[in-house]
Amino acid sequence: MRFFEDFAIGDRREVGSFTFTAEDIKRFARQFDPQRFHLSEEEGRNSLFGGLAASGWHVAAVYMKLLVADIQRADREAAARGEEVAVAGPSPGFRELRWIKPVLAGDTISFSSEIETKRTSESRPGWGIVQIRNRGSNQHGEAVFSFLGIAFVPLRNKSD
Amino acid sequence: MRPSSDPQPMHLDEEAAKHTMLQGLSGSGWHLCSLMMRMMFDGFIGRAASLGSPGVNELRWLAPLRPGDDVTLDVDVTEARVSRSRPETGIVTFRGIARNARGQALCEMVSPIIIGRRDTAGRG
Repeated sequence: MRFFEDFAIGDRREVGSFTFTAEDIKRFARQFDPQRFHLSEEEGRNSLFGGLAASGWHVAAVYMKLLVADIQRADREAAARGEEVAVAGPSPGFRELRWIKPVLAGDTISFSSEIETKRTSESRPGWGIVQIRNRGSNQHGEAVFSFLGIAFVPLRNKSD
Repeated sequence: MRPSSDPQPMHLDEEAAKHTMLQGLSGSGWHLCSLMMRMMFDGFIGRAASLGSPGVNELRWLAPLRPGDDVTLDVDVTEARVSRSRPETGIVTFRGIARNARGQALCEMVSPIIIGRRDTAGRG
């Protein structure tokens, strides 16, 4: 994880991509979101989604998994260069999450994140707050998923 | 959700988690979201003519989910209207608050769900 000072508004990063198989979609749905259009191809075809569709929470969880892997990869590279690595803070939440189009079985979703705003925290000295627009698009280039995430990021210079 | 979905130290390791802002092992916020989805399914969505959701207007993680927590979800309807783009459906906006056994709010979410209308015989 980079420090607060290292983030610039407009910085964009490709986070990774993931193919949602029918088996994966049903496994997640059985545990957390067993609505019929997430469990059966036929029910999916007869729904607004037009096919077996991943739970939106499954899409969000995959995004988080890819984001953490990407941060850990960047941390290893930074550590190898001898740079100090920041430990990320938690997130107080998100806004404007949109499941724009269904994620259907076999779709490959590519995720990206872009820094939208940054400010220092008034309540927590030593920390900044960044807002990050996260997006997912399918193999046809269509936007399918988006949200504005919020995260605490440590300051390199704690006296700021 | 498997732990591999959010493998940060605050969600994986008791000792490492002590040194984070959350000061101890906590559940991933996305794991809590998925559990809230399941509680809503079991509570009412599974018996409603749900057609899916376009998103989440706002979600706040207010306090960490701790090992052993018993979570209760309260859901209110904040708006219910007929869809302009699909008049055979309605859009019902829910506000859900997940609390631990001490009544402390852990997560608050506001989300619309598309629901079939009885009088248009939509699937449901």
